[in-house]
Amino acid sequence: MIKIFFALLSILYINACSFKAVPNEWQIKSTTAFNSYSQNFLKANDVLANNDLTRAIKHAKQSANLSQLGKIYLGECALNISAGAKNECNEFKKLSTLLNDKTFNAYYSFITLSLKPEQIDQLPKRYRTFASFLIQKNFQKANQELFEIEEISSSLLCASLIKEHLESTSRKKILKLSSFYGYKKIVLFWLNESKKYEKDKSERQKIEAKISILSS
Amino acid sequence: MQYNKVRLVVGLFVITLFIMVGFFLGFMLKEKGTFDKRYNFHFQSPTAEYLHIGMPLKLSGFYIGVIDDITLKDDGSVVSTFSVTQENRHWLSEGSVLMSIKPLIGSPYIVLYASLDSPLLEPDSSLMFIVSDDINDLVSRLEPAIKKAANILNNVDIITTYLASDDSELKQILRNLNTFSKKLADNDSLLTSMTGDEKSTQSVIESLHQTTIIMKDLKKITDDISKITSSLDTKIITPASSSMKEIEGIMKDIKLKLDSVDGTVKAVGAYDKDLLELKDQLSVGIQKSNQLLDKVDSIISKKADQEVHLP
Repeated sequence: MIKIFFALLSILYINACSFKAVPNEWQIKSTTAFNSYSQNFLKANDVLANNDLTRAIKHAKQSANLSQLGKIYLGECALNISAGAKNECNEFKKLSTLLNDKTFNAYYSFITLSLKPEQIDQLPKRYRTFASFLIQKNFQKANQELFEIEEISSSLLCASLIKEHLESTSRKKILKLSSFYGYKKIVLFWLNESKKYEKDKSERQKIEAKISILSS
Repeated sequence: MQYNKVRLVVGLFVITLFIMVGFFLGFMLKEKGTFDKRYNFHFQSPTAEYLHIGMPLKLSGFYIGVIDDITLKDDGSVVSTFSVTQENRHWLSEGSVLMSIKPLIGSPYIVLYASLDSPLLEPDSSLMFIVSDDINDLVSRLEPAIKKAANILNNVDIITTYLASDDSELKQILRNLNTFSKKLADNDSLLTSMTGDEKSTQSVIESLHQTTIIMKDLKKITDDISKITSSLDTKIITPASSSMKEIEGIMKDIKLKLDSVDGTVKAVGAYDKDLLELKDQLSVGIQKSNQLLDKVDSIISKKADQEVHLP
């Protein structure tokens, strides 16, 4: 037992000695805080989410390289849109002239539904097919495509972008997916959307009851 | 086999270390005189005041022993036991005397006055003990001086009282001087004897009279001015002063209100300061907790991402 204790102590000591702070610690801290924000935001832990976002922004403002800050503002905006909130990404707009980054501008245009065909190539790969269907207004294909995207947060964003044109089955699928991940904010949003499009009165009452339970 | 060898070496090292430490401690204690044989002696004193266990015993400024025990006897006296080492035992001879010294500054101690030619004192014998009190000695020495000073002060008081009394010589001298000066002023023959010229005396007297007339005129003028100003006060100043009084009342009221407002403002200012302090402390607390959160995040995060992945 004593041998194990001393062995652990030695490992801890060696580990502690080997730990070294990286020079761009601000970037890592900012990214970590933003990742935490994403999770807390989707899970409707609003107080924690706000704190995470504040920290992410604060760390990003440690550097004159504003691309990290721009990404955080864009990410925050995208997450809000995923949850059905109206967001015009004002903070990013203020920065965009300073950044002058085509990929950022393309992403911004995509999430604000003002994407031009020539910007598709500047989007992240996972969105390109969906974006082309969106520009073509081929919502049937877009409905299918959004479930082809690997990342759940991307699927949620795409679903939100075509919420008026989302099929009932797709809506249910999204609800199931977000429920599985425990993304309460998204669940509530899609429950409200389902209620809006549900014609069956008893089904609507069920949805209302679910919303009431989750909101309380 | 190798392992047993290591164990043997470590064991030997530890044993050697213990032996060395023991030897060192023993040496230290021996040098300090812990193992030396000590000889006890006693002395009797009327009180244990200024005596305590561990009190040093000195001879010519050197420590030769220490008080080990103090006991109260049935008759109210105190018996103290002190011990000396073999090395210092020869100082204690028959006829040796102990004296307690209480210096004005520093802790009290006992001095041994040895009688070197006398035979050695047997252990457990008693010695004569004398108390020397430096503070009391000083007071007794100062007492005559203080008495003298008090006498001087008494004499000074008597002198001043006499000088201040009406029948004192000083007062009489002053009175005589006053009478003489008056006579000098009234009698022109005296003045003449001083000036040496009658004309000059007359001119001095005339000028004095003239001065008196001028002074009278001046008095009249000032009286008139006083009358004028008093009439002005009743006719002109008084109506205005009633308005002034009203204004004064209003001003006083305003002042009172301002005073209360000032108090309120100060109180609010104090609250404001408290709130600012509280806010600062909260801000520090939040920042500290944020730093802690950063560290927790970095520990629990699976990998250290450098770039934000957009949804």
